Amino acid sequence: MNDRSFLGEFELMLLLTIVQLGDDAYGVPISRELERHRGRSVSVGSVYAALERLEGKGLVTSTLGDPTPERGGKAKRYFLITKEGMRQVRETRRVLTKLWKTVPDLKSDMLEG
Amino acid sequence: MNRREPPLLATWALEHLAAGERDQALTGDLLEVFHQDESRAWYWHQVLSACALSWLRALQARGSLLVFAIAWSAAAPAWTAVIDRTLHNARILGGTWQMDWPFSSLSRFSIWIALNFVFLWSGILVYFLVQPRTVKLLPWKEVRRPFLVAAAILIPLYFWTFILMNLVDYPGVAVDRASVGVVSGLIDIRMWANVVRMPYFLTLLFALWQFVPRFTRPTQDNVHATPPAPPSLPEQASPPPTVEPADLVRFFILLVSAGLLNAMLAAVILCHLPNAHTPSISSLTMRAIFYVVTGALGGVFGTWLYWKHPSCPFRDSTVLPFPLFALVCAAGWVWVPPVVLFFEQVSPGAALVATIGAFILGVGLRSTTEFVFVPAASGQPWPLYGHTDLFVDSLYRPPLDAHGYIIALGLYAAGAALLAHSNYTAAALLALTAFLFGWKVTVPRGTSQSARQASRRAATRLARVVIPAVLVTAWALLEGVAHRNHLAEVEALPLSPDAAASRDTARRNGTTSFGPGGFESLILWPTPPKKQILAPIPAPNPLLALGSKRPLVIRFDGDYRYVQNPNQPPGPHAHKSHASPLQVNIHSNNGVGVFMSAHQELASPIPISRCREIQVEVANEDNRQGMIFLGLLIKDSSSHKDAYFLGQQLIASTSPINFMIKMAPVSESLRFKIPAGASLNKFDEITVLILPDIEHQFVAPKIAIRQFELLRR
Repeated sequence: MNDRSFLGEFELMLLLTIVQLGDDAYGVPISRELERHRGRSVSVGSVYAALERLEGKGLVTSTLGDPTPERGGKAKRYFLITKEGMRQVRETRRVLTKLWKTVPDLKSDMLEG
Repeated sequence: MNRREPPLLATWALEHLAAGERDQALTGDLLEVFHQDESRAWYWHQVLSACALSWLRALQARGSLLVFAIAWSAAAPAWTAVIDRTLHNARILGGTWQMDWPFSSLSRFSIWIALNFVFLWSGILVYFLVQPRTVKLLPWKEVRRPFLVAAAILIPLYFWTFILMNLVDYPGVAVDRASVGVVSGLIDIRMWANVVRMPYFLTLLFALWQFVPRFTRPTQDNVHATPPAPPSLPEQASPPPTVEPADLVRFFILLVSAGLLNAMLAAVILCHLPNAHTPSISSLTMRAIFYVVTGALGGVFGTWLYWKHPSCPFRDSTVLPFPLFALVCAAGWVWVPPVVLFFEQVSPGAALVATIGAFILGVGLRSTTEFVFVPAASGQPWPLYGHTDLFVDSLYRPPLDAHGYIIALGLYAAGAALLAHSNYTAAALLALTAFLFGWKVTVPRGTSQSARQASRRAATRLARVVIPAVLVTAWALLEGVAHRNHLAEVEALPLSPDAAASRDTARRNGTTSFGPGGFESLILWPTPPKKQILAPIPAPNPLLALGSKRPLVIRFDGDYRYVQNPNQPPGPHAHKSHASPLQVNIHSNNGVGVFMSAHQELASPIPISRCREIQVEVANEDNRQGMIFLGLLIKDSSSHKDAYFLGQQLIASTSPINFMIKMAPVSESLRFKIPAGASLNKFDEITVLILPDIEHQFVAPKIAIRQFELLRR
């Protein structure tokens, strides 16, 4: 994996949500958590598109669960973050934290000015 | 309580219109949320956004492909200019090749298709060259797929674009294509050029669409999945055991027969001699190549129809895939067109070529496909060299295999058929014998070779026989043209007595025959007698003269007619010649009997009330055993009444007793009484029917009519 490839904003949010949800991380709860934290609706399709991209990069893995009647007989796909995914999350946090520390006091009046 | 269901159309769109491979987790998630009291609008919004995102991702993943397809198809107008010039040259060459329609059009269309394929396949190759790492990762089947897809969809896309363009802007964009050059075509941005580019762009895009590095999930990803099934055996040596061995053999024979029959049909319909009297070698070669391809493709298509049938046990066979079977059989089917061409010339070459083709087919099928069903049926491994009895041991046991006897009998029967000029029978017998011989002398390779190895061997075998097949087909065409030209020369001779005599001589050098390569019917006129130099003395009709008892003698100067259908008169293409039946040999070579008759027209009608009997004087020079009868018909051409049959009588010299003592030609007189109550009042036509027995069924008897004597009543 290329060390210089950094996570995008949405990808980082997804990885953090998967870590937060643990074993119950599939499409619906991931979308709900993202909506709750971001405060706006999220397309389930975009969540799956990003998850597939992350899976292609080896940052998450997925497994199929059992099909259930309320889902029309369709199985759930559970996502789990990989070691590489965790490493990239930590690396991104480290870089962001370092960047935040270099920024002088951000006051609301400065931002507005 | 009724559970709400999402819009069916939206679910269908999500499952079918989204790009790429998608598992059903997304659909399940949307259903789960929808059942938690979301609206149908929300469902539609999610479905449409998912579809749009999937296509966006698919196009993003194929950015390089899009750029490449646009760049390569930009050269399409320039390549079209190249094709136009090539076709123009081909038209000039067509004059040299002397191609007749539809072969001229077919050859032009073939050149057009070939050049378009060259353009597209070159593009695909270039795309592969710039992505060598991706190519290396893919199996050969995946690599060749874009070439096949491009070949399959270019023509439909091309004509679809043409139709669409005409619908949008009828009658299409007016462009002087002759003015489009190779360089100017590259930078042409007019609508015409962009329309030309469209099918090539779409074809490249579709052909290479799957040819991108794709993320694929591991297959064992179900956490609750049942234990994985044990891996299947690497290539089972036999189809599923539920199929009876007899069914396998039956289908095997059906597949081969269907292919053979279809190859023969294609050859009969499409393979004909060129119209040109002196075709060039290049024209014959092109035609031969086309015919050989026709035979092979016709056979493959015929087999494919049954191969894809649900009841076919080979349908999903991995050990005998259809391409392998088609390659093996095509090595035999390429010989069908020359066989058909030789048949049309009634040439013994048909039997020879059929023998070669059948032998190659038998060898190929035995060595490649026999292992498909025989081990399953017998359960025995294949005998190897050194594991069977040899020499002395085998001499003490009588041979039990019937194939040796069948082959010997087939050869003898084929020889007899050849002697009897029955080419069809000889060719069929020799082909069957050769197939059986090839089948028996070939040692099957058993399961020692994989399907890929077998396919490679079959392709090599096909490549080896194609060139000889083309050469033999060209030979058949040459023979056919020469045969036809010879007949045309004989036919074109003038009808003066001397020329007619020379034509008759030319005809007698060969033997006049019916059936394929012969004549549909034949009319033989007696050789004109030497012109009378005595002053004509008008003689009154003795039958009409009062008080006269002399018979009316009518020397026969009518025509002899030879037909194969006694109910039909000679057709407009009947061969006409001057000769006596005593001088020529006329026989059938297509297994259909020949019917001979003689017709005499009278200058004036004879009243039935004045004529009580007709004596027919015949000359019999026929030395074949068998009785011949003579029948007599009289007819009034001025009335619509049918001819009146006066009965039939045996020619005495053909009876078994007299035949034994008949050493030289004899003349006989046969008497036919005319009843007073006949349905005719008068007659002005006399027809003599020569009614032979089975001995003379296929050979016209050498019997001539000398004269008629009409006796007064």
